[in-house]
Amino acid sequence: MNIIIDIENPTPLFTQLIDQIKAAILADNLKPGAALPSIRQLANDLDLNNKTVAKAYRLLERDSVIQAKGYRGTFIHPNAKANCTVDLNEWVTDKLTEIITSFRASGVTDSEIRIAFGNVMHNRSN
Amino acid sequence: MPDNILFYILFLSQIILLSYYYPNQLLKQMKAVLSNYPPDQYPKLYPKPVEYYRRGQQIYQVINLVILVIGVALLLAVVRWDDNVANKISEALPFGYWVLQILPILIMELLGFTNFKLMRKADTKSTRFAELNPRRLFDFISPAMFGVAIAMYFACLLFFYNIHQFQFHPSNDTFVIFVCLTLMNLLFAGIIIKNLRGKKLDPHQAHSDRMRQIETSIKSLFVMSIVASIFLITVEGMQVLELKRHIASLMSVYLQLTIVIGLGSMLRKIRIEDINFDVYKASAKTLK
Repeated sequence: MNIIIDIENPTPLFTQLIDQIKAAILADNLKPGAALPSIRQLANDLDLNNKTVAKAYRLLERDSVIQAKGYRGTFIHPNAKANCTVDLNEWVTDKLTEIITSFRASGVTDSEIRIAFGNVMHNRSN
Repeated sequence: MPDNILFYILFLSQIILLSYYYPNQLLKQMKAVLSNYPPDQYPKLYPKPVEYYRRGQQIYQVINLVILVIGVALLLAVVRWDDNVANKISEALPFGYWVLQILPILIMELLGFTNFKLMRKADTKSTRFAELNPRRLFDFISPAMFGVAIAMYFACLLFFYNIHQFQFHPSNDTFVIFVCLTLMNLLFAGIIIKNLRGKKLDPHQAHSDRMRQIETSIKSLFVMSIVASIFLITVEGMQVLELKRHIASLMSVYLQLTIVIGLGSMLRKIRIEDINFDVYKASAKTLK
């Protein structure tokens, strides 16, 4: 299984990595339990910063597409195929749209929503 | 003199093997690459003008010839000296000459690194390729070989510890051997890790060629580690058994072995006809 990164592509490098790993899982090129290269190996092979690959792996792990098993390495999650189709970004957007719509319906202004959102994100109370 | 005939034969073999046979093999390979894969068809292989490589080959040939002559002169001098004086030849002779013999190889290695650096600099393609498979030590060597290398390391240390009445302090041979052998094995481990996880030196190298190179390199380093432990045990054994006068011969054998295992296995296993040179063509875009 190969991975090809285009550094001139406007898509962020970590997104290209995530997309290709997910595509490989969906195409059955990567089976559950298959071992992935270490962050350092992949970063060196692609001549990328370790942090870029680490970010891609972290997001894939968060989505339960891959799982890190300590010193043994990183592996494809048993439910990776099903989890690949779950897009957390899309889910967050849907949820926020739903909530913001209900706020607006209650008469809350966009400015108030932004301030409240900022406060919540920064753990600040009024 | 008859006592030292074995050394003369082995030292002659060291001279021929390291300053004639292997340099010739290397030159043959370099010439074959230049004639079969010329710069006009394979420009990515030559970041410098072709004259630079031709001149390098000539210099390499001359240096080896000079070292060969020095070796023969040394051998003749030792034979002459041996007639007049006594018996034991110092192991510093084959070792010192070996250092001289490997200098051209080391210089070639360094020039190779410079060449790869220039290749990387000239590489302007925007796509980068990687295999999504982990490279693990046991993909390249057997666990048995790994076990033998570790066992020989400890066997060597235990042997010295035992011979030197279980003493371990800086003025003692056991300590010196422990430091040297550990440093050597740590250096080997570093090279292996660099091979497994480090950056690719040649940006165009095909994946299969890289794997073959890594495998050959790792196997050679493991064999070298095992041979080093055996050599040290044998030398110490010879000291104990009062066979000191044969240590120079053993040293020569060991030094030849290091080159046969290292450079020799590279030349044997990585053959030009098996290397994918298409990746160095001007039209080659992605690495496969």
